[in-house]
Amino acid sequence: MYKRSRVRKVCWFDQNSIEPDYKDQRMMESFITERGKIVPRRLSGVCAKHQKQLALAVKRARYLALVPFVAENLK
Amino acid sequence: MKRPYETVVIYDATLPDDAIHGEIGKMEEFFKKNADFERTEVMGKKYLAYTIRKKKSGVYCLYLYGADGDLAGTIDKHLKLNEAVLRHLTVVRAPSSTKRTQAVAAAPVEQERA
Repeated sequence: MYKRSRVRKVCWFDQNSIEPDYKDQRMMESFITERGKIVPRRLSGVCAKHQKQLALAVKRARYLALVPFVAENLK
Repeated sequence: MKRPYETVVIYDATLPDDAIHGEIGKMEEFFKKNADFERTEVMGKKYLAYTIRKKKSGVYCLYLYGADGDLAGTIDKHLKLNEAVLRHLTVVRAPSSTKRTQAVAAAPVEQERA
């Protein structure tokens, strides 16, 4: 049987040695989907530690209206 | 015990610049009196992702200071009564966030959409 070879994803935060920041609008936008949902780590490749921090950061950014709770055209 | 805090305040962008600068000055005075005030970073005028009190844009301002836990309640009370403030958030600063905060503040201010 054909065995698929997987390329191991590297955490973007570890790679760039930065931490998730709720004030960084561009960073937060890059980790949410078109619908405004947080991208799961199985897709983004973010490590468990940073995913936890990222989820909190996105929630803070949503409260401060930097990113939407729900996409405008889906309301 | 004093801890490092940061407060983000969104001011109503429809107010004149003088009024906003006046509010920022008042907040700085408040922090200088009651806490170990470090600095203020005006993040600029930004388009809101959703309307708050029918306003589409706001002026984001970040205050960095060290204070006791009780001060958060006082600030909350103070800002809730202020009509120029659309929203505010106070959090304990992560030790590694300081470097990033400076970089974000130094980044060019996003142009207001519509």
